[in-house]
Amino acid sequence: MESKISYFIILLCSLLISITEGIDIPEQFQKSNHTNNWAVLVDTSRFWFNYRHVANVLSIYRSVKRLGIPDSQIILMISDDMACNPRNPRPATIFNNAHELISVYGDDVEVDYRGYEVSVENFVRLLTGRVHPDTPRSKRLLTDEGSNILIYLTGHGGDGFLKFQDSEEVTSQELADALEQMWQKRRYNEIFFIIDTCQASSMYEKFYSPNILATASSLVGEDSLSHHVDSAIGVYIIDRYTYYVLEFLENVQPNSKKTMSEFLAVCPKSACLSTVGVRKDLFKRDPSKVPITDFFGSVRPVIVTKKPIEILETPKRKKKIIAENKTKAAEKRGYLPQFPVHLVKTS
Amino acid sequence: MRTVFVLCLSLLLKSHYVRADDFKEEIFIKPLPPTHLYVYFQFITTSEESSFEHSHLASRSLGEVISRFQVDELHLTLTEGQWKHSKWGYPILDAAPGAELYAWFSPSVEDVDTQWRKLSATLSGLFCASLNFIDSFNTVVPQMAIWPTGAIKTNQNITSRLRYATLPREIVCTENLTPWKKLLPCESSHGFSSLLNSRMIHNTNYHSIGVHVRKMCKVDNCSDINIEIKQTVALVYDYKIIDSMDWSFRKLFGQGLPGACPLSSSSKIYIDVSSNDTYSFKLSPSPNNVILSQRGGSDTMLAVYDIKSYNHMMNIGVKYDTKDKLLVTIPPPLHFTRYVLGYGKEFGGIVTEITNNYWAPIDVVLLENAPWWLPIQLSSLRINGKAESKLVKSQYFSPGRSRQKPYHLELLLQLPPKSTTTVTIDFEFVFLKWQEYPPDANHGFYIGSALISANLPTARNYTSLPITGSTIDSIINASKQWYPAVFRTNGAMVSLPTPDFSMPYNVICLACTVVALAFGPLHNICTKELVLKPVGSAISLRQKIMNLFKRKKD
Amino acid sequence: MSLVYKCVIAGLVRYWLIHIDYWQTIANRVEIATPLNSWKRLIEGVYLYDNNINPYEGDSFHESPLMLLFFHFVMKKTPYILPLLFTIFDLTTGLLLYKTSKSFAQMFKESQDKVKDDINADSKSMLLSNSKLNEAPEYVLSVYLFNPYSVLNCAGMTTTVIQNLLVAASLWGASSGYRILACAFIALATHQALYPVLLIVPIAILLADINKGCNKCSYIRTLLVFVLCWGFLIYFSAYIMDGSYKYVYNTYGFILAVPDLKPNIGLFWYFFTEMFEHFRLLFVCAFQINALVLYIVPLTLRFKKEPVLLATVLIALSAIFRSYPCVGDVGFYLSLLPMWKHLFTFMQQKFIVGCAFIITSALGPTVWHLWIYSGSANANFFFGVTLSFATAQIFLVTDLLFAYIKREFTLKNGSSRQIDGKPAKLVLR
Repeated sequence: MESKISYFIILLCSLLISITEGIDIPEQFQKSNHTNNWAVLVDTSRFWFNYRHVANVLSIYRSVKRLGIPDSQIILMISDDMACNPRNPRPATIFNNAHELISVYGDDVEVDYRGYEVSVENFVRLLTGRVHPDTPRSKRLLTDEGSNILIYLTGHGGDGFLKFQDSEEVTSQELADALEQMWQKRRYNEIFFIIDTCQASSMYEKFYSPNILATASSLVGEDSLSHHVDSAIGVYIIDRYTYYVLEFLENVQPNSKKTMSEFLAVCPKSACLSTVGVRKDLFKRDPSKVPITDFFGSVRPVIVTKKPIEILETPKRKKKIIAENKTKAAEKRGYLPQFPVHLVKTS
Repeated sequence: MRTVFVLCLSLLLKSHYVRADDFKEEIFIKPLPPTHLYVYFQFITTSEESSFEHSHLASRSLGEVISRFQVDELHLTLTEGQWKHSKWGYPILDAAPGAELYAWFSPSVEDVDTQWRKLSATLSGLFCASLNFIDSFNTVVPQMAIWPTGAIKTNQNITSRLRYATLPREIVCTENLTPWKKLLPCESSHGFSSLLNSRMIHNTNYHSIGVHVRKMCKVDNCSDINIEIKQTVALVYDYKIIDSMDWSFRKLFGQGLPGACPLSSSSKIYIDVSSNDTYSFKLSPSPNNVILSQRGGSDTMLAVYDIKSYNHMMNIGVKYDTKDKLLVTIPPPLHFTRYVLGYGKEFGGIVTEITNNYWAPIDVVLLENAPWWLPIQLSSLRINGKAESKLVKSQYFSPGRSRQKPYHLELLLQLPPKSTTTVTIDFEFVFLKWQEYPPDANHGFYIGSALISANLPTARNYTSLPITGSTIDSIINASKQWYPAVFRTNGAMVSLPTPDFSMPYNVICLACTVVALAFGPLHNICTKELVLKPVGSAISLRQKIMNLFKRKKD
Repeated sequence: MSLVYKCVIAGLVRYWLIHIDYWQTIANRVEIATPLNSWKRLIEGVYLYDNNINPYEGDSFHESPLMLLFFHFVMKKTPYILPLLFTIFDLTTGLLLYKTSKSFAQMFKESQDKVKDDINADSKSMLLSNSKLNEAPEYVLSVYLFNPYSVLNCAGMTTTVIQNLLVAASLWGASSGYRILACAFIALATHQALYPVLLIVPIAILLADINKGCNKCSYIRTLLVFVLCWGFLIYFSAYIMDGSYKYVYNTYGFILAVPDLKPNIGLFWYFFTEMFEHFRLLFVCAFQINALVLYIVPLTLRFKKEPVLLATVLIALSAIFRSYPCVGDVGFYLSLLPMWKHLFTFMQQKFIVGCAFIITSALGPTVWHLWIYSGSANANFFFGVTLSFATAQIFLVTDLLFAYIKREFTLKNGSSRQIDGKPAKLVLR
C-alpha cells in the first residue's frame, strides 16, 4: 500500500517537474500561500464624457485576463455602455489610445454588472458576499481564505469618497468596513487595491484590515489627470495613471519575474502629473519580493510534499432507487394555433 | 492532421449517438431593396428530452437552466434597433428593442412567479444582461397574444404558466454575444458562427441575438418529443454603411466563410433572389441550386448553398448589374406605428395605429404593456375616437399597482380592409420617490413595445417558419390557411417629472418645521392658562424668551 | 328670501362651471383633484366595475365600494343628472351648515345667558346680542356658497363634495340632537375618507350637551352607535365586493400609507418623495399620528365646553394635515369660521393669513405650470407654495384658538390689562 502511494507521489513530482521545467520559478513564489486569484474591476461613471473610465477598467481587465485569471474569476462592473454607444464611431471597440493600438474591449468580454446594476449597494454586497440567493455565479465573488484579490476602482472621487453613477457615493470608511468584513469572513488572503480617481489616496487611508497593499493614482489634494483626447470620439480616451499601468502590464508575461514594487513605481510624477500614493503598512510582505503575478495572474504556487498522504476510503454512496414511472402513458402533445382563433369564430 | 482528427471525432460521435443529437446551421439572406440587407443566422441543436442533460451538442449551461427551472419553452432576445415593418417587410422572428424574455413553465411548477424570477436572474448571469431587473412589476401574463410554438400537452391551461417581460433600456453589445457564442457546439471557431465578428455586427442598423428553446414532436403522432434550441442572429445592414449595394461576406463580416462546423449535420445558406427580376444581380460563386417556393400566393426564389460540400474559404457575394434604380416596395399587408401624445408632464396618451393594406379583414391581438409608473386608464380607451367599437372582439385588462404590477391591456381587433385603426389610451404621469429615479433621471423613461399578434391571411412579405418546421427549407411551398405572426411595435420614451435630488434634508426639515408650528402653539393653548403679568418686574431669561414669543400673539 | 337668491346664484355658478370648456382643466387641477377624490379616477373605477374587473385589484381607484355602487347606478340610469347632482349636493351642504350654525347660535345664546352673572362688569358689552348672533348663519352660508375653494371643488366634481355633505349632515344632526343620524353620517364620511373619524368626539359632546342627562351614558351610546354604523359599512362594503376585504388596502391603506406622491396642497407629497426609504415608515406613522390622534385628547380636554369650536378646529387641522388634502376641505372649514365672528377682534394675524391665502392661491398654479409645462422651475417652487399655504392655515387655526382663550379671559377679568394700576401683559403660564 505504502509503496503504491510513494510510487504515486514520485509520479506526481516527476510530472510537476516536467511541467515546470521550462519556467524558472522565483524563490519568493513559495512564500505566498494563496490558492486562487480574483479580480474585482469597477468603473463607477456613467455618461459618454466618462469614456476614459471605461477604457481604464477595460485596460486592467484585458491585462488580468491575458495573464491568466479566467473570466469566471473576474467581476467586471461597467456603469455605462461605451462600446455600443451610438456616439461611438467604432462600434464594439474601446481603445486606450487615439492611435487605436489596443482595443481593450476585445472580442471576448464578459461584463458581470452593467448599467444601473453598478451601485454602491451591489458593490458592497459583492465584496462581503451578502448577495441575494438568486444571484447567478458570475455575479458573486466566491473567494475564500486562499484568494488573492485585485480590486481596481475608477471614477470620479473626492476626499474620502468615490461617486457611483453621479448619484451616490461610497465613502472611504464604508469601503474599509467592507474589507474588514471580508477579512472576518475569511474571504481573502491578500488584497491589492488600486484606485484611479481624484484624491485617490483618501480612499485607502481608512483601511484597517491586514494583508492589503494599496496604491492610488493621486494623493489627497491632487487631481488625477487624463492622458489625451481622441478627436474621433471627442472626449478624453484614458487616464494617465492607467495608461502607464497598461503600458507596463503589456510587457508582463505569465512567467514574468517583475515584482510589485516595480508596479508601484510605474507612473512617476513626471508622467502622471500627480503623485502615486502607496500604502504598505497593512501588507506583511515586502513588495519588492512579491511577484506581480501574485495579483495580476493566476500562477499558483506548487508545494511538493514528501510525506505520504493518507487517503481515506470514501463511503460508498447509496444508490437511490429511482422510482421511474415507466407505466406512464405517453401524453398526447400537439401544436397549438398561434392565434386565439376560437375567440374570433364565436363572434 | 487536425481535420482528420475532427473528422474521426465526428464520425465516432455519429456512430455512437445515432439521431439522438443533431446540430444544423443556416443563414438566410434577403435584400430589402433599395437600402438594406437582412441577414439571419440560425443554429439549431436538437436533442432527446430524456438525454438532454447528457447531450454532447446542446450547451450544458443552458440545459441545466431549462431542466432546473422546469421550463417548457423559452424565448430570449437581445435587440438593438427597430425593425421597420412597413419598409422591410416581416422578419423571420421579430424581437422587441432591448431585452425580451418569455417562458412557459412546466405544469409541475407550483410557484411560477418565484421560478420566473430565479430564471431571469440566472439568465442574467448566463448572458451578461441585466435580466435580473425582471420582477413582478414589469412582468405580464399575456392572455391572447402569445402562444407556445412547441408541442405541449394540449389539455392544460397554458396561459397561467406563461410570463413575459421586456427591458426596453437594455443595451446589446459584445458582452452579450460572447456568452451566446459559447453555447454553440462549435463556439466561434468553426462554421457560420465564426462570421459573427462583433465589430461588424454591431455596425448595423438592427441586430438581434436570440435563444429559443421549445419542444418538438419527434414523430407524427407526437408521443415523443425532442428539445430544440434555436440560436438566432438577425442583422440588417445598411448599404450606406457598407458603402455599396454589392455585398459580400468579406464586407459584411470582415472575413470569408471558413467552412461548415464539423459537428453540424447540415450547413446551408439560403439567399432570397426574388428581387433579381426587378433588380438584377449576380451571385458568386453560383449556388448549388435555386428553388422556387410558392406560399400563400407569393413566389420566392431561393438560392441554396450547401456548405458541407465546400472545404475551402468562401466569399459569397452579390454584384448588381445596374445601380441607382428606384424600386417601389410593396408594403406588407399589416403595418403599425406607435407614439406618445401630450405636452407637459402631467397627462399624456399612447397611440397605436395599425394599418391593414389587405383587401380582407385581418384579426390582430394588440397587447399594451404600460409600466406601473405610467398608469393607463381603461375608461379613456378609444378606438378610432370612439369608446365603444365593433372592432373589438375580445378584451382583457389587468390594472397595475404601483411598484408591483404593470398595466396590461389586450384587445382582439378585427381590422377592416384597407383602413387604419387608431387605438388611443390616456395615462397620467406618476411622481416617483427620489431614490427610485435612475442616475440619469432626465434621460427619460422607456416604454416597451406593444405586441401585435396577427393572423395574416396572406404570405406576402411573410418569412416566418411554419410551426412544425425548424429549418429554413420548411418554408418552401408551405401554404397554410393562416400565417400567424407576432410583431413588436416601436417603443417610446417619456420624461417623468423629477423632484430636486439635492435637497432631501431641506425638505424634511422644512416640512417638519411646519408641523412643529402647529404643535407648539396648540401645546401652549392646551397646557397653559392666560395670566396678567406686570410689565416692569424682573423676569428670568426663560420668561423673556417666552414673552418675546407671546408678544406677537398679544 | 335672500337665502333662495344665494342658493340659486351659487347653484347656477356651479352648474355653469361644470359645463364650460375648461371643466376638464378644473377637474384635473392638482389643487382640486387628488388621487383620492378625483372624478377621473371615479369614472375609471366605475368603468372597471362595469367591465367585471375588480377596481381594487389595481391602483387607480380609492373610493369606498359604497361610492362605487352609488355611481355605478347613477351612471347607468341617469348619467346626465350628474352635474346637477353635484350642484345639489353642494347646495345642501351649504344649507346644512346654515342650519347647524343656527342651532349653534341658539346654543350659544343659552350658554351666554347661563354664565351672565360670572362675567366681569367691564366686559358686559362684549356679550353678543341676538341680532349679531343671527348674522352668523348668513355668513356661514355665503362663505360656503361663494368662496372660490368650495365653488371650484364642486365644479371639479370631486368626491370631496360628498364628503363635505356627509360631514355637514352629521354636524347638523348632532346640533339638532339626532344621535343616529349624526353617527350614521359621520360613519359614512369616515368610511369614505377616514379623517372625519376625529369628529366623533365633538359630536359625542354636542349630543350629550343637547340631550341633557347622564353625560357618560350619552358618550357611550354615541360611540356605540358610531362603531356599529362604521362596522356595518365596512361589512356591507365587503359584501358588495363579494365578501372580499381587499378594498381596505386601496381605501384606508391608500390614505394611511401614502403610496401616491402626486403633488397636492398638503405636506405629505414632497416630504415622502424626498424621504430616505428606511425612515419612511417612521415618518408616515409620525405624520398620520399628527393628523389623527395627537391633538384630539388635549383639545378635547381644553375645549370640552365648546364642542362646536372643537369640531371646527379638528376639521381644520385634519384638512391641513391629511395625506391628500384638496381645496374642497379648505373651503369647508373656512365656511365654519364665521360662527366665530365675535372672536375676530381678538385675532392678530388676520391680515397676514389673508394675504398668504391670496398669494399662495395665485402662485400655486403659476409655479405648477412653470414646473410641469414650461420646465423653467422645479419641484421646490411648488413645494414652497404648498408649505406657505399650510403655514397660513396653521396660523389661522392657532390664532382662532388664542382669540378664544383671550376672549374667555377678558370676559372673566375685564378688558383692562392692569394689575393694581400698573400696566401688565397677558402671558401664558
